[in-house]
Amino acid sequence: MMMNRDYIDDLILGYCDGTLSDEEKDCLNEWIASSADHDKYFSDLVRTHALLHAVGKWEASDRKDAYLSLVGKKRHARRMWYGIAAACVACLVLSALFFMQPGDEKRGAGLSLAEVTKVDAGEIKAYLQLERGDCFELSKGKFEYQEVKRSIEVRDSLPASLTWHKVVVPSGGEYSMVLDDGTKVWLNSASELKVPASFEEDARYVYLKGEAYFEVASDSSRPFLVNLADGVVRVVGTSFNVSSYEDDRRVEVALLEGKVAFRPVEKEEYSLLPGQIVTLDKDRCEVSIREGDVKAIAGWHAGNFIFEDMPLRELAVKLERWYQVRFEFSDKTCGEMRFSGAVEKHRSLDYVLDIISRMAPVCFESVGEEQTIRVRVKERNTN
Amino acid sequence: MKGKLNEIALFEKIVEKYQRPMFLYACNLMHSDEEAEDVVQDIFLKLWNNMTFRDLQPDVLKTYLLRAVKNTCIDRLSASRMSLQRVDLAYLDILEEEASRLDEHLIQEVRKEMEALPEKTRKVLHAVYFMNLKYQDAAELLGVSVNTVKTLLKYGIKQLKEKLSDKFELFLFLHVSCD
Repeated sequence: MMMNRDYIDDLILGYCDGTLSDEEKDCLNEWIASSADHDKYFSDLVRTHALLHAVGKWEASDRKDAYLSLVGKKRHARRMWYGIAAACVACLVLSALFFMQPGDEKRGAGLSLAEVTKVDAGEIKAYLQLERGDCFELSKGKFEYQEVKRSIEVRDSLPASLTWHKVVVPSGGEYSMVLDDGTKVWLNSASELKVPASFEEDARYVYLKGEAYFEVASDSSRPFLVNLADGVVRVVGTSFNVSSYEDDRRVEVALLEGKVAFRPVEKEEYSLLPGQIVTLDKDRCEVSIREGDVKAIAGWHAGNFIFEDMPLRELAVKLERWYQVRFEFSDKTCGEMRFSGAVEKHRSLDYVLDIISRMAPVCFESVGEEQTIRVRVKERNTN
Repeated sequence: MKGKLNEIALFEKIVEKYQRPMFLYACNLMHSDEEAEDVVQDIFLKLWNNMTFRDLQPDVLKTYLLRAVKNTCIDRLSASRMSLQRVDLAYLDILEEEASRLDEHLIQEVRKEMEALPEKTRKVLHAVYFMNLKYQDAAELLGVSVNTVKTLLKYGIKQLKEKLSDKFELFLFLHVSCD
């Protein structure tokens, strides 16, 4: 499609102003989709437009007094909440985030790939499961806090050491919390963390399935121990990432700061220095330590997927957990192609797959009614 | 009592820090500034009522608030008309990213780059973006044709785009090694 740049500029500015007709919008859509350069040109122009717009309104847009006076009326509600909050701190301070996403429509057969893969990024959500089996959703603010409070009242009548709370993050979810010793934990999709209602005197034990990033509050008298199915990580006070999914072949502990030691089941303990990554190959029972980009590995907790020389097959597993889809490789070679890069997690799957298929000779197509995506090698002769 | 005061102070700090990026982002999505203001007001009210701001990490908070703006705007727009196309989704992402970088420093930087533009171009940008004039009105004010306004506007934006493009952080980089 040949089009005059000047006309494109008109379309883009018209788009920003919201003055395009449907036909013009389609036309712009097509132009953007036709090459990565077009996409970049569009986004740079939109950025510049948005910036200019912001500069023009910057001074005039200081409305904080209006917003503050509005909430001022509600201030008396705080006292009651305070009691609840204090109770919560005893157990977990739950940073409940709730990102509403536009509803997910039913997707039937016969939809184009673009429609099927327009899967929204995962949400920040989790469930709190008490020892007696009750389960509460931890995502929408007040109501859930009160439920959590109720659980603590129950806990108070039981010996503290017996009570465990399990925080479960489903596929497509993500959650962060502060434990009662001040340790911060970010739980990745499809992961579970079991924590005691309160830590014991001599050690802080937690149980992890899946992946989590920890910033452990320093306390040399009480080591922090992360128990995994295949080993244990012993910590004094530090930041590190643990990935231990049941369906992954490898367990990986990456240390950002401080000191940790990883002891695989039936093996000796491996001490890590900052910047090092210890990997346990579960099939071969082999342990190796390497230097690597540990910040990248823990990048997911700050909202990015970061992957370093990662086979497409492994990358697909990460995407599956976050977008709740399934990948199917039609032949082995494309699963072995290696990628390095970073993607912001809030982007749609459509966006991520689009970029990958532009960079590598693979293409993605939807199969069947389930959210299954088939990956196959792109034929060379099509351009 | 002390906790209460701290809480108010914390909330005020959050409002002060994020209200402008949120409002400007909402302006880009809604049809009028009033609607945009309403969106932001609503979000702050909710934030205050459910007290989530006490527990949010600073680095999550900004994303959270901008996402709230996006979702609220989408909800309101889809209630009225708009269907989201691919270009719309990309557009929202770009604007959100841009809004998340907005601060006094960046604003000053753009101002500085604008000063360096040729006079006529600068005046057109000023009329359209700062005075919010329609092309027709800007043309009258500056005593030039509407076409000239459009041409200079596009020229100006593109010049700034070049100057600022190295500051548009690369949010996605990928390389492939096939073996």
